[in-house]
Amino acid sequence: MRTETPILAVRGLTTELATEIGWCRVVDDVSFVLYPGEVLGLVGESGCGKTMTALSILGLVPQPQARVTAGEVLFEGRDLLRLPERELRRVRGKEIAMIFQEPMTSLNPVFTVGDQIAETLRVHEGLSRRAARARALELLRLVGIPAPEERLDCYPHELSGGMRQRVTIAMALSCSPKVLLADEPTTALDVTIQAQILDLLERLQAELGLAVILITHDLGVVAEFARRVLVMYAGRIVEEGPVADIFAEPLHPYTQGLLASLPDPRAEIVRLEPIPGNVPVPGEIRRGCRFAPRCRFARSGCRDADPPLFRRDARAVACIRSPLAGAPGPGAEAAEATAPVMP
Amino acid sequence: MAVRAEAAVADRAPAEETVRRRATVARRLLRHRLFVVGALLFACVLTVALFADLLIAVDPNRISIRNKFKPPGSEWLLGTDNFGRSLWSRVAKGAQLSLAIGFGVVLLNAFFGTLIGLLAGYFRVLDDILMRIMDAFMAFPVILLAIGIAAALGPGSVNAVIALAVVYTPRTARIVRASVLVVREQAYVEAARAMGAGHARILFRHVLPNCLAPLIVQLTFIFAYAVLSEAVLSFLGLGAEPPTPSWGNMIAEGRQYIREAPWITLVPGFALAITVLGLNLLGDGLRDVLDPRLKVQQ
Amino acid sequence: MTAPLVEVEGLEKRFELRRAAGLRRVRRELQAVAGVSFAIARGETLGLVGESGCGKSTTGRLLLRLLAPSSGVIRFDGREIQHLSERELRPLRRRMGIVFQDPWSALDPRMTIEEIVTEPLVVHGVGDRASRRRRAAALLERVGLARIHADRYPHEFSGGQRQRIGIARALALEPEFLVCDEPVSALDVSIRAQILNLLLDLQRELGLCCLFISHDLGVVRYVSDRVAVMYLGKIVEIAPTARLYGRPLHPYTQALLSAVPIPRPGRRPRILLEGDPPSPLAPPPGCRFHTRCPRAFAPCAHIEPELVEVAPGHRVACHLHTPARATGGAA
Repeated sequence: MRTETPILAVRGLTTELATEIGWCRVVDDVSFVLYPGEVLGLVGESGCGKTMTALSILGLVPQPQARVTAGEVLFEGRDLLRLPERELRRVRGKEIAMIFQEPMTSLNPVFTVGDQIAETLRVHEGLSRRAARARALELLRLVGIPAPEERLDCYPHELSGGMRQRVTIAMALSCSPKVLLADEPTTALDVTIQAQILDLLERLQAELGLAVILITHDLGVVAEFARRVLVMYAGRIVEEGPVADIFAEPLHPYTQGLLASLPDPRAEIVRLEPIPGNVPVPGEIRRGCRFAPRCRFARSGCRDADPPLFRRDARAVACIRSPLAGAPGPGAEAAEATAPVMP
Repeated sequence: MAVRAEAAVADRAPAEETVRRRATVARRLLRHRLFVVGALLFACVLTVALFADLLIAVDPNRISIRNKFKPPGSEWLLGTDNFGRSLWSRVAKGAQLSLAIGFGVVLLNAFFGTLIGLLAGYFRVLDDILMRIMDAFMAFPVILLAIGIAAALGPGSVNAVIALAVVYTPRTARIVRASVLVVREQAYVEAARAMGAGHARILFRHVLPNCLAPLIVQLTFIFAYAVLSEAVLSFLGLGAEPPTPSWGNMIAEGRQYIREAPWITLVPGFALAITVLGLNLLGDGLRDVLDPRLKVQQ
Repeated sequence: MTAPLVEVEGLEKRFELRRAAGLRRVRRELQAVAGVSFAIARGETLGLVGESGCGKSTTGRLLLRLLAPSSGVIRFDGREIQHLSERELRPLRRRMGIVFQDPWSALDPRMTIEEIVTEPLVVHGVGDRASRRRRAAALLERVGLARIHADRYPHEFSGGQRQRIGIARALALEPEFLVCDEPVSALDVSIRAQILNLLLDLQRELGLCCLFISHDLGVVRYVSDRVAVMYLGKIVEIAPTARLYGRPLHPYTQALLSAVPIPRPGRRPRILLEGDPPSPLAPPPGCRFHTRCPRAFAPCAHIEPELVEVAPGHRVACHLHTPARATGGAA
């Protein structure tokens, strides 16, 4: 276990979404910590709650269709979930920044790129118009935009997808945040552009000592970029551990299944082994382990109770079959960390 | 073998789900409060129109000078006008006329608007010509154009229907065309082409059914506009010819006596307001529920 | 190799873009496909990879004649079809099928699954109602769905299930040639493998000739016998799968392969390409890749490299691999 103090600690986070059949938990008792300067990967398929987790952290869940019903998000000793909107707004952008999959959604089409970056700087940092523009230029240069002087006066639609994502990264970094939430930052981009953006993020992360939560469905991106991984399924974290361990020896049948169903361009694969069944939609979750209906190892015990995250050292897994399940050891602490926090 | 196993899991989708989803449009409409209010208002007007002959005791055109300017009360439910005719009878018969005209306009308008919209949206060569003609129509204020056409055709309910159908057709055509432009780009239309389906099949089996939702919403509003505009035409003497009661000519006739007997104008005015309000709420509700573009993300 | 079922030569497609500039209309030409030649044998799957806007989907649609080519020859079973009218194409359409990328827009939301799957039969007047119903049940079963699904509507199904329905529809008329246009890129990872395995099984079982279009190099490797790499409307490299992935020769292929993040931890050298792909409205002269190529040299900016065979079945369009005499003239 690391002795460092985490920069961000999420405990028992639970978020519900309004559906036709009532409120459904899309983030269910999620707990994890983020250490300064680390890249934490959050992987999962569509609807697993990974984006909702990020939005919950920043208090950005779409209202009134969604609501955070339990948990705490500790950032520098403050619980973000209980912060008044005004103070939260100061944290958002300045201390914790977020970038999204589709850069166009975070860029305003009627303002130039330079104006948008400068705007953030003037609001959060109180810079003068001229200083803000100079800093914007510096930021564009930092994110590797060629001919930044000209780009400053471009409108978002005049830029390519990769350039736009660079601009949103520049905006996110404008106030030197400590934490960056990157939600599928490269999913909308072509492979060669994705490689550029990942390279950029990697460089900036190292240079600026950022702590990054990288949310993605792409295990490849996680493997290359993150140091620690959380695997989410149907609103819960089912596995956690250092990236090397998880890819070398996945413990949860879901993680194993995901890895076995990936066609690798650098290896001859005779037959992929898919996970049977469908990705659950919110509200469909039944009793017991959420993955049990699709799990080939499922046994009767799996359908009785939702397994907690069994923890040993840096690894954790929510599966009663796993070798960690029998271990007492530091499990007490784990139990505390995963216990639901009632408001 | 693997395929079988997957199929088995796929089958576990609960059977009751189908039933639930199918009922969902009706249920969502019923849960839409304003839609229900609109539906009730419109249902009232419709009931009065359908059963007008049973509901009225006095002939709407029976003149009784002795009873003129009677205010609403126990003797005369909604009062009488300057000729002593029963306003309740006249308003009820007027509802019949208004709704009949509304339905007539909607039917004609739906037919031509859909046809033009489908052709313009689907066959791009026709688009420019058809839509420029529609634009030309839309360049005139609706009511002035309606008055112009109605004046050219001469007074009468049928002519009013024609005039109103003509002026509202460009709107419907544009709505349909806009949907067609979206639907024609869908992969299922391309799939139909790829399997060798002809234009007729693609248009009527795939494109049209998928354009219906916004069309229905639009037609509800057209109905409301038609009822309102018919009243305007009648008010100006271009709609139903007196003594046939129509809300528009009732308002026109009562205008002179608005100080002494305001109910003569207020009664048909109120009927008109209820009908238009009901239809608009109905349309809003339908739009919220049917129009996928405005559907709340699930 | 047997006689190819599908063959294209010098295939080109230009789209005219009209944009209002003041009162004038500016016409610009977008060259989506710029002279592409290849053949696919019966029972063979050709993978077509490239990034967005490289013209791979347009190529697929040209082969099916959903689009008319600007020039070039398309042969289907030995017959030239590039100039055929929609009516003349109708009988050929029975022998071709397509599977789409987006399972949400590929199925008409107002039709039941049975109506969707049997529509090709209805269009071509195959069988009566009862026999079509039986066929639908058999098709659904084959793609891993149940008979009871036949009377439901598309919105009741997940993305993976819809893709199965789309496949069933494409196979309804037992086509010989199937174009799969990014059939799994809209699906979740765990579902993707299910659909890939299904397509692979069907392709082998039915001896289908397939054009498999995808931006995902891993997916293409898994399903294809041969792979063609497209860049800005041209094929830059084409080779048997094992050879292309084992010994990629074109710098673009190499960069693409090295750029894909793979789910194995650890650093590995990556070839980073500079900048964005140029706009197909104004493709660069010479080799279209030279603006981003880490190994570009003198002739690249002026002379367009030909696609030449460097090994049996392995063709590449790059001056690094062109015999000296081809480049010698200009150098």
